[in-house]
Amino acid sequence: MPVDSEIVASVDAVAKKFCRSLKRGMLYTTQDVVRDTFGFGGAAVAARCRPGEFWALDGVSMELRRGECFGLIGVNGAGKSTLLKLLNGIIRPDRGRIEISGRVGALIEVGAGFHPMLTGRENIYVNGAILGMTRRETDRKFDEIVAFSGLDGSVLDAPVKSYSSGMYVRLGFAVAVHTEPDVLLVDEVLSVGDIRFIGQCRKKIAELRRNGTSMILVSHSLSLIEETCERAMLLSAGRIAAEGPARSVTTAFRKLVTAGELHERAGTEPATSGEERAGEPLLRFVSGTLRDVEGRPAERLRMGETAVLDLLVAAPGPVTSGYFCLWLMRENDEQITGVGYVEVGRDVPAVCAGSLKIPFRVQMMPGDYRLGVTFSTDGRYHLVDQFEPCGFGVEPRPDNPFEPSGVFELDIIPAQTPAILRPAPEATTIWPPVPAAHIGTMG
Amino acid sequence: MDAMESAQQNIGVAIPLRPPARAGERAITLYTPDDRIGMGLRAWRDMVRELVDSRELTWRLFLRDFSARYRQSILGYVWAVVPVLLTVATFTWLNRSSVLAIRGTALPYPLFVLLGMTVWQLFASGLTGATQSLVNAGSLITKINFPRETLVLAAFGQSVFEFAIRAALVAAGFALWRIAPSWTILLIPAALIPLCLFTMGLGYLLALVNGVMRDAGQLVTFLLTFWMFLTPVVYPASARHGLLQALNPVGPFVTASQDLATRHTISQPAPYALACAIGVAVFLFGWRVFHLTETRIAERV
Repeated sequence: MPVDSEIVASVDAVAKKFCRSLKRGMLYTTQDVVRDTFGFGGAAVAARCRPGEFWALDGVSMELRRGECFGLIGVNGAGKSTLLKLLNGIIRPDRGRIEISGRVGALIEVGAGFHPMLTGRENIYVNGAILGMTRRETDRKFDEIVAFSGLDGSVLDAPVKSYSSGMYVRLGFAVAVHTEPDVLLVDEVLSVGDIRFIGQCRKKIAELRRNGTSMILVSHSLSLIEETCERAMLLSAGRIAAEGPARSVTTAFRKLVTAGELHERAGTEPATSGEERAGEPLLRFVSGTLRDVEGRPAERLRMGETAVLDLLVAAPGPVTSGYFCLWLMRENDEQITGVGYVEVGRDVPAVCAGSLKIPFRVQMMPGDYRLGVTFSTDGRYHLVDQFEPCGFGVEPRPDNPFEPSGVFELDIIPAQTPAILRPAPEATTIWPPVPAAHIGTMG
Repeated sequence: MDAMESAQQNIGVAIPLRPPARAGERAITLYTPDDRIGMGLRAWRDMVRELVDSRELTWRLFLRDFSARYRQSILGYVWAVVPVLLTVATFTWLNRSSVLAIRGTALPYPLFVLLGMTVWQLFASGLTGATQSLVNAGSLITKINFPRETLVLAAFGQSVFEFAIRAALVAAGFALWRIAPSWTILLIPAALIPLCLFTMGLGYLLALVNGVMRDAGQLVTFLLTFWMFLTPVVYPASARHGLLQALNPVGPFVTASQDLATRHTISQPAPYALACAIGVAVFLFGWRVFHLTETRIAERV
């Protein structure tokens, strides 16, 4: 991607305060309106918090270069969207300054401004005008917008209130990306829409960037940030917690989240169960670390390699039966598997207090995952304790020529492949073609 | 340029350069805490430029509201005249049955009320629409940056359009009673321009207030009912209500319209001139306050 040294947006020590109380907010806004109108009582009031106000952003600075993609990450309420709104000029900062050159396009809420009663066609014109396009510009790009949205004629002439949420988003995104912005602000909108459309969006974004558009991307998908952004910033409670190359910032974020979970855990009692009520718990998880095959703690694993979940358990005595179940979730909480298990008494003779290592193959596609573990006394999940320590990312296999997609890697067993491909002995020509799976069983 | 060239040498790939024509056009935007405080004359220049730049958007938003408004209804645009016709019918009946005793109107009483209501509604429905415009826009205001003045103007535009429909009704009324109006009736739209400015100015202010405190919307609907009865809409203006009329900037416009429809002159030029001045002043004040504080409101809508 061409990243120019020219700076298109600079944010300098910006701060913004908000008030959560509606009633107080009315008073404060009235004060602010009077001050703005008549121009007295200036900076002093703006610079401090009145009762009930808090700094949603405090002392944030950043620079965006031409053609660059900048990621913004952080937990909910960290100030990411506030920063985007400030950059877009929807709200004004209370301190600091923001300078932007060129047209700013914002995908803060896709389809904001769509009128439910109007047809898709009419809404393209209205939304185009709201986003700063002239009628001529919209006319010129109309076919392109429609093609990008993938909506066909009959849908286009139906009121958008009859649209599915996916169609709505597609149309909104299509209009917004065709405004040819110099700076595009994207707030977590790529997570909606079907997989084909997300691919299309990413392609369009890459194309815009080739043409010199800079982007600021807010996303909870760390893999998207790592893939798309050169640099990133981690916001935490309105302040910069980390800034720099995207990958180092996402690593910092993973650490922050994991630390937060461990911290939460320290404050709460472990899950109760029958065994525990009777006295000492049978077994308790103390900590868990994900390690690569060489035993180093790892936050990023590579597809195809072996990883080890290293658990530290506490137990009053040897545990001779029970199940350790591993479950795996994507970062959007979609459960991928919950049935990887180790049976005590069969796979391992007994478990004592100390370290327990569970190795597994990384078959997941590149992305972000969370790995959790439970211990139960029988297959019906009589839960003794559970632990969800590990968020981690998966990287593509270096030798795979194909772009990875999907959820997991289908593990084809190489030793048996030639046998499957060998033609059936009697057959000289096979017509109609027999599916490959059948050839194997016939041979 | 140097940086670009050296970057190209470094990675050995030709980077498509952005056409210089576009690069030259890029305007620098600056946001600071007080970029809309105390701008003095510069504010007026910005406001006019924004108004000119956003005329197409205003028109689009007007078309949007206009075509969406009656789409899911059977009677459609008939709703623009139904309330007026009902009011006319009610007052005509009250007057015929001597509950009211309004005599001495220059036009037949139903036509008189129809004309008065047409002018009054230009103000009343315009003000209601403008007051609600920001709150109705909802996420549009909080998620997209665009000149919000356009919302208020487009909302007021609806009222102007309805005025045109009602004006056709007035024309039909003259035909029905076989009365030839004075030619000066054609000047009514021009005479009402200051009323439009007054409505927009007040609409700007109330839209802001409604964005902060929803009370404004409630209050406007409520107050307009009383305001109408204090305005010579269903009864002719008379010197006896002097003070009340002097305080009401809408009244002179209603009276002036009635005068222009029947005589060739405006019978009370002084109150009319005063009302015009008030209209212009309110418009300029409202517009400026709106421009200076619209981003504050985006936080609260």
